[in-house]
Amino acid sequence: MKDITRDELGAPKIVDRSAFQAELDALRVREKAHTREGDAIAAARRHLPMVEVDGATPLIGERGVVTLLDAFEGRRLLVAYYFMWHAGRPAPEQCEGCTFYTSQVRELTYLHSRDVTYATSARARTKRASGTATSWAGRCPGIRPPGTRSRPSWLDGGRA
Amino acid sequence: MMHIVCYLRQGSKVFETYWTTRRGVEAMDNSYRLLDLTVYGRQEAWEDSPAGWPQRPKGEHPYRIDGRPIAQWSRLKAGHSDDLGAGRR
Repeated sequence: MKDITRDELGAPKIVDRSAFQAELDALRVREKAHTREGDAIAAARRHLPMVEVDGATPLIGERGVVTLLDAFEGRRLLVAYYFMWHAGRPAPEQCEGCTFYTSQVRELTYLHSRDVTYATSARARTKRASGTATSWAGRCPGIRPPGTRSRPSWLDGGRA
Repeated sequence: MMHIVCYLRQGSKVFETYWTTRRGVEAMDNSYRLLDLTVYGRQEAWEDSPAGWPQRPKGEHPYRIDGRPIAQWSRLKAGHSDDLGAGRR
């Protein structure tokens, strides 16, 4: 985009403020409906049942191998992101989508204030648990994926 | 495949209460949320935009620049190593 001059880009039609505001107000009705529907879906999520999983599932964290249970760090809730880690591959070849998402999880104190631990994980080559996630590479901050020596700071919750 | 999985701990018991994948992991994102508020949106080819709106060319990955996941570049500039010990199994 930086190679294209501004005149070459498409742009919205220019109107006066009242016309602009009228269109924005119409969009706002849809936005508010979307917000309320999101609230309703979140409420339904809170009514889901749950399934027991193996708390002994091994993870690799900052201090070496820990268990899924340890990853809670004593909190009652855990949000885990499963990173598509390519063991043995250099940084440029790691998953761009997972990098995109994990790098945007930055401030964890609000989660902690609700008794929630956030963790980033990666697939291990052998273990499989719960049909969705597998064993873990580590937690955020301080992730250390399998087969790596050092903590790749570019995965580390955006702390550049 | 990427996933978000949510768990509840009761004592030493662990329960899975939710999981999602694909577009579901946009829950972690704020870049797309903000881009969606701008006139050109995410600037990706799949979006329904007026003719002439800038979009990344097909074949150019939305999350990669110059052969790396985009977020790696600022970390490298900040002096972080990207040595993952690759090759050591």
